[in-house]
Amino acid sequence: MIEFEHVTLKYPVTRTVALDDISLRVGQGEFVYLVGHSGAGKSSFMNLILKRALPTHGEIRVAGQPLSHYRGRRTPLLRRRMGTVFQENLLLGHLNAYDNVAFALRVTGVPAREWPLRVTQALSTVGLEHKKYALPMQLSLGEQQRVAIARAIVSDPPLLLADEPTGNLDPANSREVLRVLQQINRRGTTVVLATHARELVETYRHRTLTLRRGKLVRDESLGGYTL
Amino acid sequence: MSYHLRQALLAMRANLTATLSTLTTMTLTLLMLGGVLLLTLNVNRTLAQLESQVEVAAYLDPDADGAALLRQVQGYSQVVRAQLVPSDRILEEMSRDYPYAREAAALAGNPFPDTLRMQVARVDDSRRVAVAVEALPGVESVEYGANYVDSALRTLTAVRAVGYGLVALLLIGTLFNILNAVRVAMFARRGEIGVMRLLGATRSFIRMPHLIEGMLVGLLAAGLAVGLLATGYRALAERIAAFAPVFPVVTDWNVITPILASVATLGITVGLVGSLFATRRYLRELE
Repeated sequence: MIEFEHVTLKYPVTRTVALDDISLRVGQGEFVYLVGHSGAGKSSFMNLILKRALPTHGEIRVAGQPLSHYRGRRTPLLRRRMGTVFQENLLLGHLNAYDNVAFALRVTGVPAREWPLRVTQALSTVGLEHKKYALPMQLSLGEQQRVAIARAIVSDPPLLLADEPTGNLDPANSREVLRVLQQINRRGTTVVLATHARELVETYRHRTLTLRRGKLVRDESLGGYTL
Repeated sequence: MSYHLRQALLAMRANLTATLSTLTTMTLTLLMLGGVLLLTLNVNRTLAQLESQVEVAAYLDPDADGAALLRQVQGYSQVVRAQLVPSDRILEEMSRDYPYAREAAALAGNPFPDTLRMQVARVDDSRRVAVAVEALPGVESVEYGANYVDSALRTLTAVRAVGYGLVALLLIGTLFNILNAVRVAMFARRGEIGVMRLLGATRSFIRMPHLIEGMLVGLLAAGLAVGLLATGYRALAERIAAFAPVFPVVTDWNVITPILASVATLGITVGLVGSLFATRRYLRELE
């Protein structure tokens, strides 16, 4: 699903090497943790896949296609193939949970007649079908993050990128979010979860990639958090 | 489309000050442009009428060969029609307007010389023809009605040039106003735009509400300007026709309507072009 070949990312202004000669493969349907301290390069890794940054060297492929294929006007097509969840849930405050999830379908041109079924399914996956008319401010942080996950999966993307999705949540809500991600992965969606929360990584054991100062220092197929 | 239209209306309402400022500037600009165009139309009509009336008169020496001079000026390409008017006929004409002219002539003789009267194709040519004819042997002096036409032409050309210059400046100002208004609207929606980009929205989808916003402002300004122009022009034309019928005011709406339509089209185009630039630039900055 994701291939990095000798990928280096250097920020030209600060001359910081965010990622240094990274080579790895993430297979279809895998659940991968990406761990490391703050500044280790986790977000840079995600940004490269999302094409919010371009590698200085090396090549990245998503679903077999090099990212250079998705140039300019094609970038949205790449982003439609992946769902994204961030630490900030980025929900639109004036829309209720249903409309926030449907927004993903609207902006990608999915016909409106398909929305009710797909949105309801996505909200039910994250256990929030009963709160579809609630505005974000009427939901807890954990619920808001689950709505954000529903929005990320409503288009049924083969890849889900989650960058510190539990960063603002308490342990109970974090476990709930992780459970939801686990459930989504079981349906065949590849999940890459960037986190620095040790307890999460220990909860469900999966392949764990450890980044340190931009280098991939460990690739543990059995999981576990070791820095 | 209804989503984009709703977003455009929301953006306009959310940035009401910027929207109203753009609307006012654009309406004034279009009003001024329409005014200059209608003025030009009427000036052209007046000049055309003047052109048909302007003639060059060459007063001949008593011993000049009038027939030879007539043949010579008839050879000028700018001269449409020429005739030699003998002094007797001129006295007759003058006596019709000034009856005492005949009495004066009885006392001191006919003071009017034989005269060559020429009509030129274009009013601009009258000066050139006058200079050429004045240089001919046997011609004492030349008069041409273009003296007043010249000054009128100069004044009207200057007014027209200043008008177009001001309109051009105002159009640029309006364009910047729209750029600014759309930019403010996009900045206000930056959170939503960020989410849209992450979700895979195309650039055209993100831009659409703002393009509609620009077009709506252009359409509103065009509607206001054309409405005011049509009403104002009709009232003015009626007054001029009543109080100064000598001016050939254009009242044919088959001629006026295309001018007003072009003003409206320009308004909508400026709105659209302004928002096109603004959205393209804003999205490029995000990438």
